[in-house]
Amino acid sequence: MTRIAEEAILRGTVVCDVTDPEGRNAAAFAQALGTRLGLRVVLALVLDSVRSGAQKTATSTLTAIANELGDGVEIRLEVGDRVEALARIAGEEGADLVIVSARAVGLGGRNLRCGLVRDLEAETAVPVLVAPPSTRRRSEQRLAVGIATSG
Amino acid sequence: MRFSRLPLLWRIFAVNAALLVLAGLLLALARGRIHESFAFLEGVDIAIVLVVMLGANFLLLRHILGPIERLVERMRSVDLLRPDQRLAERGGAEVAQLVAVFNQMLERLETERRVSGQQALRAQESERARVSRSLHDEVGQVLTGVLLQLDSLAGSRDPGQRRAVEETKRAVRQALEEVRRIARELRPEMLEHLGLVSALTELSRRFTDQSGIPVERRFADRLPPLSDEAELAVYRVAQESLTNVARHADASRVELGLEPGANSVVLRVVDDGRGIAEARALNGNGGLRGMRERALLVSGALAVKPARNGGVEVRLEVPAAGD
Repeated sequence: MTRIAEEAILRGTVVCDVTDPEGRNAAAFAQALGTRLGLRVVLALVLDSVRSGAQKTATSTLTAIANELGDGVEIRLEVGDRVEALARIAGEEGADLVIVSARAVGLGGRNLRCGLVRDLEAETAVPVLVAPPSTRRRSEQRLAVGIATSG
Repeated sequence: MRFSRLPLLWRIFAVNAALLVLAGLLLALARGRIHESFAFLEGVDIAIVLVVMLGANFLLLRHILGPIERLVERMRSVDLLRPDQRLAERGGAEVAQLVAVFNQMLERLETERRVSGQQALRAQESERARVSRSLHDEVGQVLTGVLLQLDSLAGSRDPGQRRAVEETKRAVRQALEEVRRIARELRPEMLEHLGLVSALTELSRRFTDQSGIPVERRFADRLPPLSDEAELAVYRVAQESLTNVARHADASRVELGLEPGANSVVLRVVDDGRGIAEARALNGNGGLRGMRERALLVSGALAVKPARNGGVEVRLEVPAAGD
C-alpha cells in the first residue's frame, strides 16, 4: 500500500452529537474511536431555537468538551431541528459516521434513542452509531480502555 | 383559529373527542346503572373511560398522522443542494407510502438536478474559456497594436503632444493589464498547465497583491490525484472564498491549505475576520450557493462555518479521481 493510500484511510471524519448531557460521554467515545482509527472528530450541538444567552452557553459547553478532549477536535453549533441539523453537518463535513449517545437509565441501564436514530438514519446516508451511556458497565478491552484513559 | 385551519390530527381528534363526550353524556343520562346506589361513582367511571379512550385515540392518531406534519415541513424546506435528505417511512400504511413516494421523488429530482447542473457548469466554463481567449487574443492584440503605434508617435518634437502620448500609453497599458487579469480569472490557465497547487499559489499571490492581505499557504507534499472537474471545483471555491474575504471579512490574514483526506483532497480557507454571521449577511446566498453547487456536482462536501479564531472557515472535501 502506498503512503498516500495509508494516509487516506486514516483521515475520515466522525460527527458526534453532544446536544444532551450524555453527549459528553459520546464525545469521549468518539475521541477514543478517532484516536484509534485516525479520524477527525467534529462535535455538534443543536439548539432548537435562538434564545438569548442559550447560544453563548452552548458555545462554552462545546468549547469545554472540545478542550477536555484535546487539540484537533472541531466544533459546530447549529440552530434548528436536531435531526436535520445533524444530517446537514454530517453532509457538510463529509462524515463517515455519526455518533449519538444512548440515554442513561438508572445504574448501568440504557435506552436507545430510537426516534432520533431512526430519523437520522433516514435523513442521512451516513451510518449512525449509538454510544453507550457512562452508567453502563465498561468492558476492559479496546475502546472502553481508550475512553477511560481519555476521560 | 378556524377549525378548518387546524392540523388534520387535531381536527380528527376534536371530532372523536366530541363524539366520545356526547356518548359519555348519553350514557350518564341513560336509565341503566352500574353502581345502583352511587351515582357519583358512576360519573367517575364514565370520566375515566372517556379519558382513557381519548388518550388512546390521540396516541393512535398521532402515530398514524404525525409523519404528515414532518412531511409538509420537509416539502417546505427541502433544498436540492443538500442531497440525501430523506424522511423515515413511518406512521400509517398510507402515510408511510406517501413518505416513500416523496423520498423517491427527491431521488429523481436530485439526479436530474445533478445532471443538468453539470451540463450548465460545463457550458459556463466553456463560455468563460471562449470569452477569455477572445479577450486575450483579440482585445489584447488590438491594445498591443495601439501601444506600438503610440510608441512611433512618441518621437514628436512637441512636448505637449509627447506628454499626451505618454499618458495615453499609460492608459492603454492599464487597460491591457486589466484585460489580461479578467482573462486569467475567467480561465485559470495555470490549472490546466501546471496543476492545482501551482494555480492556487498563483491565485493567493494575486490575492495578496490586490487586497494586501497575506496568505499562509499550507499545501501537503503529496495529494491524491483529482479529476479535472474536481480540480476546477477546488480552484473555483478557493477563488470565491478569497473574493469573499477581500470583500466582506475585514481579515488581517488568511490560511489556504490542501491536505489529503479519506481518499480525497481537502481544501481549507480560513480567515481571522469578522465571522460567519456578518459574512453571510453581506454576501447573501449567491456566492455560497455557487460553491455548494460546485461541490455537489463533484460529489464533494462543503462546510462554511465559524473558524476557531472567530473568522470563517471554508472546508471542501472532494473525492480522489477514480474513487
